[in-house]
Amino acid sequence: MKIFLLIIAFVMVGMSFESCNKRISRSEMSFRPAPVTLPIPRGFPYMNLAADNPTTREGVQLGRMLFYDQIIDSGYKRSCGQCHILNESFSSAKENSLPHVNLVWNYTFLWNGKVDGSLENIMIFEVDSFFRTDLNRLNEHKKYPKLFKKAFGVDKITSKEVGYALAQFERTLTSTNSKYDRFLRSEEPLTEAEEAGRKIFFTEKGDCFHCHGTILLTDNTFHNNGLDSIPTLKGRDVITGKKNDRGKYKTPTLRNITLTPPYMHDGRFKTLEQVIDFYCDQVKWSPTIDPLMKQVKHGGIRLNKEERENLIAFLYTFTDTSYINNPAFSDPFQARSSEKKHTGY
Amino acid sequence: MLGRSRFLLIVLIAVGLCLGFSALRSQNPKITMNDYPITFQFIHKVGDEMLIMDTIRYVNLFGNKYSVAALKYFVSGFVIHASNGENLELKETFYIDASNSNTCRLSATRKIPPGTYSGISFIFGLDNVVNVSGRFLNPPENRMEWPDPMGGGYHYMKLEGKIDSGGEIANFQAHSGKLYDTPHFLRVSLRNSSFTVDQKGIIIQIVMDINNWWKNPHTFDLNDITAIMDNGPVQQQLMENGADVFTIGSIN
Repeated sequence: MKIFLLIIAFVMVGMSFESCNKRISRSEMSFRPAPVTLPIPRGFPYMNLAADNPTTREGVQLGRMLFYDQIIDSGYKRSCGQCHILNESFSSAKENSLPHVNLVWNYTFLWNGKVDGSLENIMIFEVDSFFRTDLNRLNEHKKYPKLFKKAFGVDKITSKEVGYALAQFERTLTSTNSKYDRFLRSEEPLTEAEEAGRKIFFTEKGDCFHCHGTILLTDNTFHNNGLDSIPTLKGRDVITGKKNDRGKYKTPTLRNITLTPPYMHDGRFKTLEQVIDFYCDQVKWSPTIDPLMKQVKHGGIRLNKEERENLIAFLYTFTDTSYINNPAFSDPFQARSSEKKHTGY
Repeated sequence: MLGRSRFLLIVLIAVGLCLGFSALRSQNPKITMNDYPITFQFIHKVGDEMLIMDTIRYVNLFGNKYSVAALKYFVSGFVIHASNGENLELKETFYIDASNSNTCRLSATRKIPPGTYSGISFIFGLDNVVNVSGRFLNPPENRMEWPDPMGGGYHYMKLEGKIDSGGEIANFQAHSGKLYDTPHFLRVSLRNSSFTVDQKGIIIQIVMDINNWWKNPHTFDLNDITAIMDNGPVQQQLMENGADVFTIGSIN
């Protein structure tokens, strides 16, 4: 009987601890963000997610607001969304900015790979070094502090939380439903021209796949593709300090490539036709040219007119209209008056 | 009849013992006290020289002066041949990037028991069971994709570099893999690879001599080793040259 009573006593003590915990939880009710699961589409790699920045509904919503709000620019002149325009697959023809699409599968960022790691690293870099965000402005704002509290449980906003919120929004920007994706899922056939283009792309006739391969259509590494006999701008070598990295730039994804002119790191080509013409007969030798540029001594891959057209037809299958029409990616301030846009409300 | 309190006490003790044993079991999935780890260390040389990337300093049998800019490949299907005739198979597939030393040291999950072993063999590349599109979705292995229009699967090897032909520089790319339905993987049986496991783990150094890819029995002019993925005869010759590319460096 004594033992029985002892067990009851232990149970009661345990229940009282549990009750204490519940009281603590109630006092922290303001920080209970709703977890969001990001499914990995079939055939795609693991996402590059930071363990200390789980995706939440509050974090994504806050990141989306910050993305489109000029408040993060110390000069109140720019927002991320001004140079990364949804209709242009989050690139900008005017700025020749790199598209923001499927960045959650990236490990290096910017043309020369200046920032590596995860989206958190590049977003904190943008906050601190590009926008030079005035954190006082955010901390003194009438609504942002509450939103940061809900998303991250912080009373004081630092560049870390700003970067983390942006990273959470950016990781939702995934394009996985182009015609090419549907073809891979056996949901939609390619036309004759597209199929002919696919064979050029994925054989050494065109040899696009070595750099623009995998389901991401980029190898996410760095190459000198023969644009210049003397590379004028410095590339990857600025970061690594290696002479052999001169003229190398990160391979951009070809997803939504039709939406992201101009092309190349310096935006020298305005159309896809110009790009294909370059690879066909304008490739130039330089000491650091990538060994994958196999036909450099012939100036390029020498496709005829029909082959060039077929290749471009195939490139069009990488366009994902569901991506650029996704309302969850759009400017949340669009319906509001422009004079309030830069303040967040 | 047991009293209620005694009954409860016995139940509690029984549950506690079960939980205790269960916890112990989960911490020690298998008793491997008598088995030892085996590690393969891949070393890359050109002739007698250790490989240095991106320097045109090597000369092959044909007389090409060349450099190596990239060397990435798969090894798989390791078999440890025991002296008693039994084989220990390691099911793992390893990706090696010669420019990343972390990828050159391969630790097998399976440990091996003490004993005398007569030799080691492994597959250079991937056999047809492993070599299926979609097998490797994550980097860096997924960058080895061999496109479906050429049969699918993965490159066995990407060995790339530059050739200096009297001041005229050209590129070469020795990319090997299964072309359509024809595999070109190679089972490499290492000579002088007998060893004894006794009281400690073992590290087996395996040396790839890159110059041997270009000779015996087929002497290659590297100027011809470009865009060879769709070239069945060259794929076959490259595989045949691979027979003496790997040797044992040391066993410790």
